[in-house]
Amino acid sequence: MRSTILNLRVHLSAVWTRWLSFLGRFQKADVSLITDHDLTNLLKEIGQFNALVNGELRCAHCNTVLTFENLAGFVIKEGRYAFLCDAKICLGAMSSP
Amino acid sequence: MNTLEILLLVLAIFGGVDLAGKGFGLVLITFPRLMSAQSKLWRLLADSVTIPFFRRKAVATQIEEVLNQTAFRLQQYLPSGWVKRAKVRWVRNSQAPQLRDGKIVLRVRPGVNTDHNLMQTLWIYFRGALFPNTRDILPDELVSGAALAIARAGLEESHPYLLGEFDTVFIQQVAGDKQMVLDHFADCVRLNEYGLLMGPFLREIDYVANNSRFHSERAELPTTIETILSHMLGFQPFLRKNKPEHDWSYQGSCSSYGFLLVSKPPDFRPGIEAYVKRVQEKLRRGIDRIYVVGRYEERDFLFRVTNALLSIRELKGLEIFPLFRDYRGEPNGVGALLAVDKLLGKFKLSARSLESLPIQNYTIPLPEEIEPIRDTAEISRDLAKIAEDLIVQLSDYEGAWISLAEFGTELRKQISGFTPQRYGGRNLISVLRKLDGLEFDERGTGPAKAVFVRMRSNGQNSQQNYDDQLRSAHTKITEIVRKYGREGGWIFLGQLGHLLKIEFPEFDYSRFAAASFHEFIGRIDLIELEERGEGHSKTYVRVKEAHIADI
Repeated sequence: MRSTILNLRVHLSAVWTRWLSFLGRFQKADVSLITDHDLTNLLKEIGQFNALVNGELRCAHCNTVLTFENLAGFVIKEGRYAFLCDAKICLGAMSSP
Repeated sequence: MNTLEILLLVLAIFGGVDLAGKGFGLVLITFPRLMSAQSKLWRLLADSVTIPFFRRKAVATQIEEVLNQTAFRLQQYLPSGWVKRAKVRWVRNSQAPQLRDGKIVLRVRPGVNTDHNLMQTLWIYFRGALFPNTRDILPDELVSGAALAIARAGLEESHPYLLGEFDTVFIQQVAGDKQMVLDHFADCVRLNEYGLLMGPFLREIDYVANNSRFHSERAELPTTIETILSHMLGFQPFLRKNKPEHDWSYQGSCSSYGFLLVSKPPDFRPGIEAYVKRVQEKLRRGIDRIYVVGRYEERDFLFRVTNALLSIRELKGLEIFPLFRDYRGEPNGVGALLAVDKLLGKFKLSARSLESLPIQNYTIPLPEEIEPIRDTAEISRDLAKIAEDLIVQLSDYEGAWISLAEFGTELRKQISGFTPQRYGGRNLISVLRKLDGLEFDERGTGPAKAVFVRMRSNGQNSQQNYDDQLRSAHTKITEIVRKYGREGGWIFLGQLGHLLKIEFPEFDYSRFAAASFHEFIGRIDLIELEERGEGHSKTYVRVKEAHIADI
C-alpha cells in the first residue's frame, strides 16, 4: 500500500511537471517585428532617417556603419534607440530575456 | 425589432466572434499542428486580396507557426517557465506600445527571404527565452551557442527542410568570427545527442549562476561553466565506460551534482538497492544534487528508483522531466532531479526501509527437460542481457571487476536451473567467454587463482583482448606439446586435449571460431599435424622442427 502511494506520488509529480510546462503556453512572449515601410516611417518620425542615409548611424554592438541594407532591427535602451546591424551575434547580444 | 434589440444583436454577434476566437486560440495552444492550417488560410487570403492587413497577418502567422510549433515541442524538455507562446506584434510607428525599454524590434522583409526571417526570429526567440533569471551574468557566447543548438534541434524535428540553410549559412552568420560561440554551439550539440543539454546542463548552469550572483565566485563563473561543460561532455557513450566513481559527480564551490544512469536490471530489489547505495555514497562525499537519467521505455523502473532514493531522508524530489534523448542517444529519455534538503542535510539521518518495494523477478523461460540447445545465438543474447544487467547491479562503479564466484551465485539465482552445459559450455567461464560484452581478469595461480569479470570497455580493447587470448592459447598449447611430446616430439591429439583441460581449463576453441579442436590446432603455424590411420582419433601433433629452437 505504502509502495503504491509512493509510486503514485512520483507519477503525479511527473504529470504535474508536464502540466506546468503546458501552462507555459498560455503565457505570451511578444516578438516585435517591423516591415521596411514602417521602419522608414519610424526613422523619419524620430529624425534618424537622414542619419542612416548619410552613413552616420552605427551598430550599437559592433559599431559597423549602418545602411538601409544591413539595418536589421533596433532596441530601446534607457529611452534611446540603439540600432543593430544584420550580424546575428549583435541581434542576439541585445535581445531581452 | 427596435433599435435596442438591434444593438444587443450586434453586441451578441461581436461577443460570439470574440468567444469563438478565444476558443480557437485555445484549440491552437492545445493542438499546435493546427497553426499550419491557420497560417495557410491567411496566406490564401493575402494572395487573393491585396490588403496590407492580410499580408501582415500571413507573415505573422507563418512566423508564429514555426516559432510555437518548435517552442512547444521543446518546452517539455526545458525548465518550466522558460518557453512561452510567441506572439508576433507589428510595430507601426514610434508610438507603438511594444517600444519598451530593452525590447528588440526585428526588421522582416516578407518575400525577400522567408526562410531567413523564420530562422532569425527563432534564434532570437530562444536567445531571449533561455536563462530568464540569470542571463545577465552568463557569458553571451554560451547563451548564443546553447540557443543555436536548441533552435537547430527544434528545426530538426519540426522543419527539417530549413536545416540545410541553417547549417551552411545561418550558423556562419551568427558565429562568424566568434570562435567561442561556434565552440559552445558544437559542445551543446554534442551534449544534446545524449540528452544532457536541455536536461541537466541548462538546469545546472542556471543553478550555478543563481548561486554565484551574490558570491565571490561570480568572477569565476565562466571557468566554472567550462568545467561543468567538460564534465558533462565526459558522459558521451564512448567515454562513459569504465569511468571511476568520483568522475560521476562534480563538486564546485557553488554547486555539486552527481549522475545516476539507471538501467532496468533483472531483479528489482537488489538493483534498486545498488542505486540507493551509490547515491548514499555520493551524498557522503558532499554531493547536493542528483540527476537520475534513464530510458523512456524503462520510465516505470526509473520512477521506482526515484521512489527508493526518496527513502534517503535528507533527499527531496525537485523535478521529473522528459529528455530529448536518452543516455544512449536514442530519442526520448526521462530524468529526475533530486536535491539535499538544506535543513535536513545538516543532520545525520538514517534511510527509511526499502522492504515495501515490490520485487519483480525476470527469468528466461527454460524448458523443464534439459534439451540440446538449438539456437545458441538467441539464448546467448538473452544471457548477455542478464549478465550485463547483473554486472551493473553488482558493480559499485562503472568498470568495477566482479568476482566470478559471486557473479555465478547471483546468475544461478536469476536463472533457475542454470547449467553451463545448457548454454553449450563445460563450465561457467567457458559460457561467459562466448559473450562479447564481457572481459575477464585472472589473478593468482593454482588453487589461489581467482577470476574476475566486468563489462568490456570498447571495441578496440575487445579486439586486443581477443588477440591476447589467442596468442596465450597458442603459447600454452605449444608448451604442452613440447613438454609431453615423445618419439620425435609427437603427441596424440586426444592426449593434448586432456592435458590442456588440466593445465588450461578455461580454454575453449569455439571462442576462436573453430568448429573443432582439430581445426583450431590445425591453424597454429608452429604446430604440424600427422594423420595416422583414419579419423581424428589417430591424429598426432608436434612442434615444427624449424621452430623447436625458437621456443
